[in-house]
Amino acid sequence: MLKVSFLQVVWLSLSSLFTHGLRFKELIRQIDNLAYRSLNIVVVCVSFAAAVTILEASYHMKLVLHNDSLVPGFASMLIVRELAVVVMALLLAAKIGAGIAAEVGQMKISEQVDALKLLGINPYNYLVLPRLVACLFGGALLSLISNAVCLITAVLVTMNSLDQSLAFFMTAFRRFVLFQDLIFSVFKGMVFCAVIPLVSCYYGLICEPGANGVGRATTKSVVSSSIAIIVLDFLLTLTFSFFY
Amino acid sequence: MNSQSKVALLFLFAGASVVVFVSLLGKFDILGDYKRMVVAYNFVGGLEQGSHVRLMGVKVGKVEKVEFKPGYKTANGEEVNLHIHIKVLEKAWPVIREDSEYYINMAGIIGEKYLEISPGRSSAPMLKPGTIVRGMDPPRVDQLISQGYALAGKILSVVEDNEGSVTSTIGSISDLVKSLNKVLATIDQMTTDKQYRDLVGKINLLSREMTTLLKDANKGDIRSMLRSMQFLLGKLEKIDEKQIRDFLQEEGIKARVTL
Repeated sequence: MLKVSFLQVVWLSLSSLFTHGLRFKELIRQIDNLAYRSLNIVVVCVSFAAAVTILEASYHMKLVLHNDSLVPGFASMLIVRELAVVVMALLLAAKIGAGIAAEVGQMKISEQVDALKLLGINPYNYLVLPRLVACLFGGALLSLISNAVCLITAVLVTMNSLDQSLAFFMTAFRRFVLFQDLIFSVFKGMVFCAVIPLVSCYYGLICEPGANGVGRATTKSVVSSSIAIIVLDFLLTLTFSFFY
Repeated sequence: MNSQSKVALLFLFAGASVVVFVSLLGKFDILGDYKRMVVAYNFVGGLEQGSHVRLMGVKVGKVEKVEFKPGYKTANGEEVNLHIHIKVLEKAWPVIREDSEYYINMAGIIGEKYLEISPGRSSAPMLKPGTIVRGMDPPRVDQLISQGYALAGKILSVVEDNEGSVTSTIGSISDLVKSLNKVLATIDQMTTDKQYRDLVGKINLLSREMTTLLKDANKGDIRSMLRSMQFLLGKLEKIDEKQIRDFLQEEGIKARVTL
């Protein structure tokens, strides 16, 4: 187990879906643990991020164009295409990524992973796969919720600070945002959230003994997940640009 | 609350978000029936798939596809290379007639292009779904600028080639303007000078008297007299020299008659 590589973790986890199936109860528990319990932090953070986006966009447009009537359109496009999903994924990387790495790392150093093997339980199927599938579902659900919350906040800030009507915001929203933007956003959310358990479980499974080892695994997990999310965001945005 | 309920709640929230998005974006046409038609153009000026279609300014549909049709000819033989496939709400369709016109306009703060349909006369027959109609190509600003630039170049070269005559023409125009100024000044003086004002007053008086005289001439007795004179002259024309002499001799008048 010590010399396992990241690609091996990915392969063994995915292949275990076909050899050992999916533990449904564990999946539900993980969705609750990873997605539902992250809902409050995601809602609060993306709301503030959306508010800041609107205010900053308004400031810059007034500075350059002396008019901020384009803010609702540009801001809603930015929110749906990038902000909501990337902020959500980075928050999850910090919250659940650290949690998974610490949990799996602790299991690894206390030899519980080896015990699972001895009991004939595939550790990848038991530890990694439910978290991966839960994060895929959770990523899609949280992306939708995050987008909705962001837009509601954007509407409220636009109405109160920019003194523009709801109808004006909606007209701009319809003009700028396409339905495929939402589809791509959900897809991005799923990809980002799939990366988190894979990276975190990998660092947990190669965790060195002792409190320092768990700490390092947790830190590496969060940093690597965040970098992976940002790089993947660039690659996916580049790929999706061919569909417009 | 157990895990299953929480997950169900999460799905519920996400489902609600999807419903909100779909209704806000209006991307699914499950609520309206559409009829389709094709508008042919040679230039669409940036109109693209998803652009709105408006009828009398009201959004009634969208552009579904922009298709190249090289070599396509209309019924009157005109070559039109672009087909814009549009869908129009069924309830708006009866307003579109065979004599309707199809324009590409620009609206909004970002200059969004849309297809505007002007309704035809109600006496004209209704358009059949799937019909290919000819749209009015929007003006090409780039072409206008380029033509304007070429025209400016030609004017410049003409001026350069005929610099002498242009200068002389400008001099003549200057003289003309000076003369015109003098005439205008004279007229201005006439309107202020007392003598000219009296003269104009007398001309006015004369004109009024002439009018009165002409009105009198149109009265019945003068008209009757004129008719009698005309009759008499007619009679006199018919008689010859001999008859006049005989007549005068009978009356005891000796005269030399020459006709």
